Amino acid sequence: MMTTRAASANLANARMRRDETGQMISHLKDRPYTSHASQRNTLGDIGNQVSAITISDGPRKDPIKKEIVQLTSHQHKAFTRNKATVSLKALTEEINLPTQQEAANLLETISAMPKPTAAPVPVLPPPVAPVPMEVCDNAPESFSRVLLNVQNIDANDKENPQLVSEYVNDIYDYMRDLEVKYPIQSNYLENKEITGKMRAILIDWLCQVHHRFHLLQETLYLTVAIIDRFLQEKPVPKNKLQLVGVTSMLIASKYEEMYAPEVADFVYITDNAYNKKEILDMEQNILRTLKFSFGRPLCLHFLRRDSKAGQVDAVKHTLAKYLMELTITEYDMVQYLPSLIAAAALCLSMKLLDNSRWTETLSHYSSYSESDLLQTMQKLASLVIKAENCKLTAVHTKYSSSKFMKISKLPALKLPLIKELASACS
Amino acid sequence: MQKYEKLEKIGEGTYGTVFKAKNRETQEIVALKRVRLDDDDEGVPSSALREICLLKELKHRNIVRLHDVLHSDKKLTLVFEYCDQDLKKYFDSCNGEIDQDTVKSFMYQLLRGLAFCHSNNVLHRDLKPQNLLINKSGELKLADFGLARAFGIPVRFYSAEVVTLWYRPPDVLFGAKMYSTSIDMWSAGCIFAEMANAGRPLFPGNDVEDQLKRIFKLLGTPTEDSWSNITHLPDYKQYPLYHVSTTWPQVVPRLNAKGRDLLQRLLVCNPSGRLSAEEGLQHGYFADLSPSIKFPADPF
Repeated sequence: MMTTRAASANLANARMRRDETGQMISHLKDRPYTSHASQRNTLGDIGNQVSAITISDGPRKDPIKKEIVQLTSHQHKAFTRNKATVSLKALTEEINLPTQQEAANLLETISAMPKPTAAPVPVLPPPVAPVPMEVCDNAPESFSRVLLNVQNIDANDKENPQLVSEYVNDIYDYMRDLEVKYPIQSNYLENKEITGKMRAILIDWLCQVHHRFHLLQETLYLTVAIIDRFLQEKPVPKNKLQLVGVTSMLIASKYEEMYAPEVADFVYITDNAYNKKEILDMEQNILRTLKFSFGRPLCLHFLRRDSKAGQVDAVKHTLAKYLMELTITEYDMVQYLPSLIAAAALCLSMKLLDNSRWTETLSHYSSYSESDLLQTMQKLASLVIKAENCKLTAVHTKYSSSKFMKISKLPALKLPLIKELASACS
Repeated sequence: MQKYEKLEKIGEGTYGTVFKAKNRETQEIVALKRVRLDDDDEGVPSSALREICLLKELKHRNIVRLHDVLHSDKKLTLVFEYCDQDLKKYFDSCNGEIDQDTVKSFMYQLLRGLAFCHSNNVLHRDLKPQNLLINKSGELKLADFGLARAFGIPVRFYSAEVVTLWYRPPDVLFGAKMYSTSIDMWSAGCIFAEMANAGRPLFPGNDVEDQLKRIFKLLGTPTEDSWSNITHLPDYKQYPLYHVSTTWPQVVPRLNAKGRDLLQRLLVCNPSGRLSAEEGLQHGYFADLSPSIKFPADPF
């Protein structure tokens, strides 16, 4: 497990450099410089890169120490300022507790696990009211479930308020309305200065920033959704793409996080490529353009429901999360509905790990049959192969850590099934 | 601000000043909530960002309607439907007398608005009489979503610094960050008792400790038996095991037996035992509620 301190130290690593012409270039400490050269050509002047994420399980060794020692006074100032910000404060306050992210992961894992093996959930006494409540009339039972061979997956949740069993089906119906209400068009960058490749590099970088700021998973997905929805409305020139990226993350943090990072943190993380005023102006621009609508559900929301319906274990759930996250850099998947990506990711994860069946219960709660998912699974399989040799490594690296069960290194990802599915894709 | 003519200041919301104003074109009366944006600040406050985002989706007759958002460099103006008063002011005008049918109507509308929020994955987290608006036709509307947030399932850790003290549930008073829709149901219970007593607050505590003492004196001090894992809550402290000496008819003398039953099912210390808004709407207390309130022609 990476310690908070090591993570903070890594923040110092999140440096980007500019050359004399003002062009952003990648500043790589632990990789051959040439490996990113082709990317940089594609990027033009947005190629602002943090060095690759390194997550170690044990205590940090020399390289990190050197980096800390090598901090310039400017870096040091920014670094200490960063330490004082709320996002990090929240972490240090909870030094003995799991971080928000870990807690969220834990919660997800617990909820995704099948009932009998679930981690100790407090057994709560029945409601204290001594007599059954007198009601006006009996609400009709939903009969769709009775007709099908579908389990009621919420039947035993009444005593756990965190699972909101009373509203859970309404809420997911509502989310399915919302995801259609706020669509992202395929090929929205066509004939624009920004390309899909630039978008991919931006999101790979944001994935690393997200990791260093210790933000919630939701925040990353929301950031990407904001970027896409904004860019499809208002194309920007190349030199503003990173500004759109960090500002989207600022907005997503304000919406999702208990303590959002400060604007100054985002100025710092871009190595002053943009100043505070530019970020605040872009914030207004994005809020206005998207009319303050950030309720578009995330694939993460749907995956949690699907994992519960499938009573899958933590490994399957985590593998599905990895497959979902591989999609965020993929420009040609922007138009896929979050619920579709979630269901396909889980279905593929189940196939890879023990070839378990996509049950009627899963079809019911995910709203997709297995055949609905085939094409998306093929796409996901092709991403698994791509991730092995891709220069954009943030997601793959993140999921190779023990915090994520080293899931991206799972032998199951090398199964012939992956190649088979992927071949249908090309 | 050309479109609206400011008439008078109405009050202060969680993060901005509220004015009564008139649309110059349509003569419609609205409420304007103004949020200043300073350059050296953090931009649009997250409370405003969330309130706007959530209210844009929450369109319901028991939730205040956000008509428009006016955006300029230096300020953000939220244009709301105008309501004549809030429940607090309504109480002030009651002079200690309230019609119990009105209490029933208000409570039903409060629960219906809440059920809508909760089934649209929104927690209000600051229910209190000041945040419930009443219009001339006796409609009640949930307002001030400055502390509200959307939740995922399972609901994860959120801030424990929510809900005004008097309406804050015991789990959150003990520092719980894992709460859910039940957080609003406690507040709804407190407001129900306050309405039944024509505006006398149920638990007007001075600080967290005093607040918990008042609650436990009425409901009995919870123990691990009635609320497992209570001792694991972040700010848990042991309180004396109060002997419950007050009866519910003494607490809410004018509320009938069914109303008292509903109240008791809301004011349950253990959050998992608290009634939900949806269940509350089905309670027998509302059996004789006027159909015009229960089944309005247009629920939105």
